[in-house]
Order: sequence, then structure tokens, then C-alpha cells
Amino acid sequence: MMRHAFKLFHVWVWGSTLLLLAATGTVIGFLLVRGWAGIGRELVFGETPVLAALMLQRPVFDGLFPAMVGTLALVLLSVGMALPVGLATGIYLAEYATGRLYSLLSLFFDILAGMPSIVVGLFGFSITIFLHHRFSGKIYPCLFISALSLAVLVLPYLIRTTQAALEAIPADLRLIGPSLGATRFQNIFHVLVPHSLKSILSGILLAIGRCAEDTAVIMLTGVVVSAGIPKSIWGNFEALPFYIYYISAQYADADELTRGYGAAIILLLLCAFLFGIAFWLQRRLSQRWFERV
Amino acid sequence: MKMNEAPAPKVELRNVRFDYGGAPILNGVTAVFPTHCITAVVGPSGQGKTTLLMTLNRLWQEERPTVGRLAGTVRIHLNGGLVDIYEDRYDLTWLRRRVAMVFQSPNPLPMSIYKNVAFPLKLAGEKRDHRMEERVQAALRQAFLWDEVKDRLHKDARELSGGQQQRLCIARALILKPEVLLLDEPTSSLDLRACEVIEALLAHQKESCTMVMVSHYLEQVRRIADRVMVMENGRLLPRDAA
Repeated sequence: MMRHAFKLFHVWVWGSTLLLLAATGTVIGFLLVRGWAGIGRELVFGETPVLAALMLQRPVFDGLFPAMVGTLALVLLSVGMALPVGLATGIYLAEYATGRLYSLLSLFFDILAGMPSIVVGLFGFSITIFLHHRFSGKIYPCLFISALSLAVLVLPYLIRTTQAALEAIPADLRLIGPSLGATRFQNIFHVLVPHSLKSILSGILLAIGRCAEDTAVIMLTGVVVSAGIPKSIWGNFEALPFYIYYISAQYADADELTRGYGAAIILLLLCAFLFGIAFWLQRRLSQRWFERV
Repeated sequence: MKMNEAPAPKVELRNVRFDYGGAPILNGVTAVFPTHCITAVVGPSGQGKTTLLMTLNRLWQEERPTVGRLAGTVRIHLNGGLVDIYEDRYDLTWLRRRVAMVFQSPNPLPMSIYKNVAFPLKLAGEKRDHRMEERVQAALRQAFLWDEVKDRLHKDARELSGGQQQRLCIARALILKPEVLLLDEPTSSLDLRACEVIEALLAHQKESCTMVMVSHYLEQVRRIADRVMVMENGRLLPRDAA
């Protein structure tokens, strides 16, 4: 009986993994089949010469280049805002908070993690209205507000992964630093956080992916169909996920739909590029820790 | 040192009680650990031997949330004076640099051999490279490890064998020249040859520090311990009285 149950469990575990791999492969394959024909210089730069576009000498009107720059800026800005706060809060929860405060903060971040992105978008929109009326009539939905709203959206992921990574460190490892005369700060900085870098990275990857794909938040806080390359963080911007949404909702012909699929492939490549940078940073930081101490 | 001599006490425990979340672990421990001796603490598992060690450097207070409670006094001769280590005026980092600890399993940090040994010195604020090199070399010699690693100091410490890793951990504990060394079953995960080397180096260290060692190996205790105490039902008794 136990042998049959174990076999069934084995099949279930392997089957689920294969199913997931197959689903991922199907999505990527489908995108490649439908969008590959649209991939090319023209999709990204339109009629504008590549060098002139890259040097920002001439605007790109009918290509994805402004949306790619907008998405990149949006992701970097949001993760840049959320990361220091997320790491610090995760460390606080894992290493300092106790008792009722710990439970209260945990509940609060769980609620925040479960909040629909459209609600966060509305929050960002309300912040914009407040700032517009209270501080300056020149404040409108813009890249900064979008990034701030996305930072709020991904903050719980960063907090929870940092907290979980630190709390998962075994007790004997946790005690090495203090037993050698390390202060609590030294133990966190020299032993615990470097040991958790890989797990913390998974939270950062999740945050990058979420910032790159979310459409609901940016729709309410600053993205537009045609804004060109954002001139400052206070201006409107274009973004790939919004372009994909817009095309899929309003395409006029098959060519336009192919461009939408092409944009989806480019968004995947952009995410892969950012994931690569995050992995590289994690390896560099681990190496530096190995060399520095 | 002969078993019946009475050297000056280094560590004194008076009616130490420790409970963990309401469950008593140490039940009125009164004992003296003499200077420059190896005191072995033996007894069945789960009797509080490791807890006893952790009360001597207050390491139990690192647990979060702290559910342990300690009563009684723990006094140690440090820096020439007898100090009650649980008085608020004594800094924990200062205490733990004077009362070092080696754990049951070797636990090198994921860095080079050199940096592992130098780690406590760095934490203590040492910045002079030449001083650090001298101290690292001295600590590795004390741990009988220098000849084996002098040509690969900058290799990953985790590449060493289990016995070498444990000696590295002993070198790391010795680099700050502690007055008391706590050893929690330091050879339990090692083979016979590695045990012999560690026993020899511990016997060699008696001149420079006082050691309290938890061990399950009675043969080992007979070979290197000057005093043997038995932990039973939360009490610590001299072996003859147990």
C-alpha cells in the first residue's frame, strides 16, 4: 500500500514539474512563433536610424525603443526605491521585532502583499491628486509616481523574502558571529545577510518581474501610448506592458498583432537581461564578501 | 597538573538555575572550574551540558525571542579581576572575546582560511595588516594547523578536511587570546586521527587558557581532562560524587 502511495506521489511530483515546464515552453514557443516575424530593427526603431535613436538625437515615433527605455527606467526606479526599504524592514522583522509588534507588522505586510495592483494604482493616483492640490499644480501622473506605486506593490515581496531568508539560517550558524565577539550589527552585516544573499535575490527577481509586467498600476499613474523617451522622472512615459495591452485590445490588422507579440518577446528579453544583472550582482557581492572580510 | 591539586578558581558558579520557557534545565549548579585546567563535563544527552557552556559566555541570550531565564551568579576571573558576567556594565562583545567557544560541528565561514582566522580580529577593529598576519600565523601554529595550510592560506576554508576545519575553528577562537575556552563536543564529528591531534593541541593550550569541555567520550576525558564533572538532572557534580 505504502509502495503504491509512494509511486503515486512520485508521479505527481514529476508530473507537476513536467507540466510546468511544458506550460512555460508552450508560452515562450507560442510567442516566438507568432512574434518572431515582427522582430527586427524596424519594430524597435521604426524609421529612425539606430545610432541617432540610441544617441537620443532623433525621436522614435513608430518603434518600441521609447517603451523599452521607459520600462527599464520604471523597473530600475521602482526596485531602487523598494530595495533599501524592503531589505531594512525584512532585517528588522527577522532580527529585532518581537511579540505583538512582530505579529502586527507581519499581518500588515501580508495584507499589502495580497492587495490587487489596481488598488495600488488608485492609491498612486490619489497621491498624485493630493500632491497636485497641496504642493504644486505642475505635478501630474508621471514616471516617479508610477515607480513609487510599483515600489509599494513589490515591497512586501522584498520584505518577506529577506525576512524568510534570515529566519531560515540555522541556529549554529547564527551563533558563530556572537561567539567570536561580533556585535549584533556586525553579525547581521558580516555573517547573516551575506549567507542569505541567494534567497534575497529571489525576492529581487520577483520584484523586477512584477515591476516589468504590471499594467494596472502604471495605467493610472503616468503611462501613455506615445510620450517618447521620458525627459525626466516628472514626465509621462511609455512602457512595454502597456503597449502590449493596448495593441491586444485595439489592433487593426495582423501586422499590428504581430508587433504586439514581438513586444512581448522583447519584454521577456528585457526581464532576462535584468535577471542576468541581478545574478551577476549577487555573485559579485558574494565574492566581495569572501575577499573583503 | 595532578588531579588532587587545588589550583586557583577561574570560573565560579553559585546556585545557577536556568529554565527554558518554564522548563528547568539547570537546577542550582554550584561549581568551580580551576585555572589552566581542562574540566570535562560529561553526562547523558539533554541534561543541559551545552546550556551550561552558553551560560558562561551568555550566548543563550542571542536566541530570539529569548525564552531562557537565568538566576544565580556566574563569576569569572577576567583581566585580573573577578567579574560577575551578568552585571549590565560588562559588554557582551568584551566578554565573548575573553570567553571563546568552539562548537560541536566545524563551522568555517565561506571565506579563505586566512580570513576565517582573522575574522574575530577584524571584528575587534584590528586594521594593521602585519599585526594581523602575525596573529593569524600564531593562532594557526597554536592549532597545529600552520604546516598544513601555510601554502594555501587564501583557499576556501571549506575545502579543508573535517579535522582541519575544526582546528581552524579552534585557531579562530584562540586568535583573540581568550582566557577561557568553551568546547562543546569538539571531536564528536571527527575520525580517530583528527581527535588525537585535537586532544594534543588542547592539552598544549592549558598553559594559556582555562578550558571547559563537554564530551561524550570517556576515553578522551580520561586522556586529557584534569577535572571531570557529571551533569545529571540539571545538577553538576564531581565525578566521584555522582
